Amino acid sequence: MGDEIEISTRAYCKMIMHSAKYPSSSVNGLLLARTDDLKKGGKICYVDSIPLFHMNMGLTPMLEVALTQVEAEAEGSRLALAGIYHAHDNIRDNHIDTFSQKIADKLAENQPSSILVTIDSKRLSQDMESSGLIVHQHMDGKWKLK
Amino acid sequence: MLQRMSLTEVKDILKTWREDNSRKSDEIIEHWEDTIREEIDDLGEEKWMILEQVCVAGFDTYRPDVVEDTLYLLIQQFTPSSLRVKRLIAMRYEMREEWGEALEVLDQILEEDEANSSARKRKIAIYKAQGDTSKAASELTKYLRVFQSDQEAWQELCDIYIQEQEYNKACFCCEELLLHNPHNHLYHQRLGEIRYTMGGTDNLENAKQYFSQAVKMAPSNMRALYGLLLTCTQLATNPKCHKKKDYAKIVFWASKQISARYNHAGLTDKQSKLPVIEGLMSQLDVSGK
Repeated sequence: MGDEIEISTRAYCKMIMHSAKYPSSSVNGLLLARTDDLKKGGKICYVDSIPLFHMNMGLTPMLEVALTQVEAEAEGSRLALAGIYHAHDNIRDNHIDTFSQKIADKLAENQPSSILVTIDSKRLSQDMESSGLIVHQHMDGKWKLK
Repeated sequence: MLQRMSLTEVKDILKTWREDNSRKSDEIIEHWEDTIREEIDDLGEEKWMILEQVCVAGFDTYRPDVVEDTLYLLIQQFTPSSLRVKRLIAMRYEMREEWGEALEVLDQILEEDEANSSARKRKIAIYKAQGDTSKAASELTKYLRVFQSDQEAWQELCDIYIQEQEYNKACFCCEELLLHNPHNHLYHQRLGEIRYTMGGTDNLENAKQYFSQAVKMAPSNMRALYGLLLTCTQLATNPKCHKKKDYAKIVFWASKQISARYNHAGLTDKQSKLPVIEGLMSQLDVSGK
């Protein structure tokens, strides 16, 4: 059934700070989880996030380079690519654009329980009541909202 | 926090930002509060331009208080019938997300002055803010038919088309930018990336040419080097490829350049980078060099 998801402080802060640094651009990046967690199932802790782009989003060459490099680096630390996060430049925009969906689908091929995190810009502020994240997890071939 | 700077220093910085068109709204508001607000009358000739700059910074950072202070002074000086002031009034509606009122004011400006490019651009910005990218794209196309040399607009249209995945049209926009700036390596690299994204042998060939040009102009452009590496590897591993040796040579050259740049930057830990290149090279070997 659905895996429980925990996002570490480190991963969360990096995501939010990345979007705060570029408030007028779309941003995206990757999420890493421990390989052991992913194999065991049950609760998965996303220990780190790697910010990728804030310009020229939607173009593939640099994304390919980034994915290869992050995967190689992660393997060395017993981590694996297990999700992506993205945020739109428009504050009210929460939809999952085709590009992010494609990346997420590709990740899910290699990592069945990948997650796709959309940062809800409306909810970001100096005193936040919620995490401001919309998480979809890949389960049984479909993306389900958690 | 900023140190207490002299008025002249602040004026110079603001002038540089006006000329570069930089978006440093937070810093501008800080300067306003620390230095300028107390000494408005000592600003001299640049007073009104600085007030306008601070007003726009207020819109960007949602500071209605700053907006009211600055806009009040501008309206007093230039009356609301000034087109430049009207544009700021429209932007104030935009800040409050009162799109209808903003569009009305902008239409008024355009009635008086059809060629007012800033009002037309604000309208396009409103459509974009509302999320109506197709309308924004069509208005922007109409705008560009008249103002063909507005490079900011071509860039914006290129971004919109990439978002909508209309890569052909994005290429066209990027090519227009290249026509205006043939020596800008970033535009060559951008076009290379769009062509690579489109895929297919012809586009990859094209991408290779753009990346090569970018590298020629700026040997330190890492994105172009990686782009060249990826493009040539893909071309070389294509089963119908005839020029494998040539592509392989380029791949080796590019990978050496990349390694050199990493070493130069002090990241001599070879392990972190080799896998990328190794992976690509092994693909080449398998296909029979």
